[in-house]
Amino acid sequence: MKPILEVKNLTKVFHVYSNPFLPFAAKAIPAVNQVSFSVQKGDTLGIVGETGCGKSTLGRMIVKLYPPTSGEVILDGVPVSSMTENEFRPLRKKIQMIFQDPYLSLDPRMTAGEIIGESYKIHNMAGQMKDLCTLEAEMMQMVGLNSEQLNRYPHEFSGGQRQRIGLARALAVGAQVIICDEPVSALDVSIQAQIINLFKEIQDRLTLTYLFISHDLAMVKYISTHVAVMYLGRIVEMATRDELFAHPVHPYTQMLLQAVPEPDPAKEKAKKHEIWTEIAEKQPSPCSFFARCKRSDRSCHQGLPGLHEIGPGHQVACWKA
Amino acid sequence: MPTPLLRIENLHTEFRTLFGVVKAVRGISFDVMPGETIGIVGESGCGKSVTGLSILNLIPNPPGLITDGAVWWGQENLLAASKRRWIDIRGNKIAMIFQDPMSSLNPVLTIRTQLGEILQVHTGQSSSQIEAECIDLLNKVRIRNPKEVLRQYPHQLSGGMRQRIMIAIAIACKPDLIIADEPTTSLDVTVQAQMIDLLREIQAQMNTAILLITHNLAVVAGMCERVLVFYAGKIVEDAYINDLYTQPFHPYTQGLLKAVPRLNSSDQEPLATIPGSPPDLIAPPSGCAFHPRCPLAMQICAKEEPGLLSIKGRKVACWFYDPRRAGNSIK
Repeated sequence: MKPILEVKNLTKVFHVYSNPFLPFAAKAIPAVNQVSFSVQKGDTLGIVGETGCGKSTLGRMIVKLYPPTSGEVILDGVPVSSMTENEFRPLRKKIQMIFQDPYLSLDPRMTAGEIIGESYKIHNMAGQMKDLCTLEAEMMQMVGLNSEQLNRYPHEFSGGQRQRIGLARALAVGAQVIICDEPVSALDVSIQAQIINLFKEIQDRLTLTYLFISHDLAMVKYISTHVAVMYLGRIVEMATRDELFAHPVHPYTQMLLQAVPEPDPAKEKAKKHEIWTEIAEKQPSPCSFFARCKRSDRSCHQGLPGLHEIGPGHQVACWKA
Repeated sequence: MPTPLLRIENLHTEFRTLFGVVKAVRGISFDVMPGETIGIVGESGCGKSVTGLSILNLIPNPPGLITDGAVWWGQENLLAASKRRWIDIRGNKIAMIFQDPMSSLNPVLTIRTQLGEILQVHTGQSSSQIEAECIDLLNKVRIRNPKEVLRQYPHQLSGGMRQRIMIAIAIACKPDLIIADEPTTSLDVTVQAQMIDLLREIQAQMNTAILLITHNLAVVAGMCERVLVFYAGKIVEDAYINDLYTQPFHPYTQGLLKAVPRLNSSDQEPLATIPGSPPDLIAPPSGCAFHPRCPLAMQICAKEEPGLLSIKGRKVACWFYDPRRAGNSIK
């Protein structure tokens, strides 16, 4: 089956200018480095990693908020990275984004109805004003809000309700792929569960595809069908959810998983975390995790470990695997 | 019975805002024993941070005001202490680790200045003694090249390193109590695990009592002996950690524990949720503040506030467990 979203060798290099008057950059930071994956319709790909591993940059490149340095994003069979903004606009309906901070991602001067209807109008999908109002009300109900709340402003809603409006905005134009960039991490525990349940329910109803970016491994495990682990701009391990959590192979994935605390005092009290930190004296190696890896040996110097298959659908970038 | 290190009695803290009086803490009482680790958990706006700040008298006034209650440190009521006395207590007897290591260190001062300041104020050592002590402290919090780090500024350090500096400042004068307000919230899981290990280690060495304020039930599970669950500015459950996690009594605690997905289960059932949203503290619901969201709510819950009831070695504020509820069936 043809994947609905495919990413091929996507790379983003940020240039840091130390002196604004010099024409050359002091440092080039590869935030995302040669990332490739594909997602089938109806699946959820969870992307996990520490701060600064490039997971948000990856999400933003896919919706063309950042132009990629190289590589290609293929949306439903159409390569979109090289398109101009005008060419891409009709396709943007298919791919929408939900942002992390529900307090910053909604315009405070627009009502909930205007926020939901705006993209609909931009895409010239609204026939008559009457249709627009019906649609707005429909969307509000779909995400569990009351259609009487359409005329309220974002500050009148709680964090959880705002994230619901964010979802309604994405759904209003009939999005098929939704990039969720840490959609629940700013919310309280009891509200997180409400929003995650809503995401799942709507996904089942509309066969949506999610790219779920998060640092909360338990949440990713709960919502995803496939999981990719990123480290310093590269995917180091990718597998189906059950496979990855049952048999993590990459040393980084293993380290991440054992660092996650669990609400179980007997287990947590007995647990001795093993966290590796960077050893500066180590000789540099092409593998980005080498400086932190305690399992490294001479074989790690043979080059950059590419993602290779070690089982059905299980890819790892490590020489030791 | 040993005397408690800190006793909080009926603490009330309010904030007077344009929209009305926000009753952030509405009558909280608990004891902290020497060397004990207590977790305070609850959602945002439940008064957990305000409680921590009230203990140290750090509530900005105005708009904040401690309207009632007492904080007993031995025989002394800290809320009546003079400014002079507070200098002696803060950082020396009771230290605090703040949530955001980015904004709680001064960006224009070196680590040496910030770490040395507390030693200078409280111990009055000479400069070379302080230097030696600073290096010793940085070694204690596992910073690898302490001499170099002392000359650096906060922006040159990573989030985890900054939090280590915060911990070093907190333990500098060997306080009897450390209040840690969300010490791991803004950190990655790997760094969080390191911080938990470090705090546990320091506590084992120095036998300091720790008040750990967090919304993360999993972090509490790894560190604390006792947990206080806060809801709408009140304690709803006060229990030893094993009791609380194996059999939570209060419906709010039950809901919280069920609402987090677990790493070790591959369940695909929808997550159990607590319906509704946290209450407005300007006009909290009548009776038990949790009753509009509670699956066990009875008629009495909306009318009268439940007191903290001692049952089976724990305390819980819920009418469901009160023997007087007879005749009130669940709605």
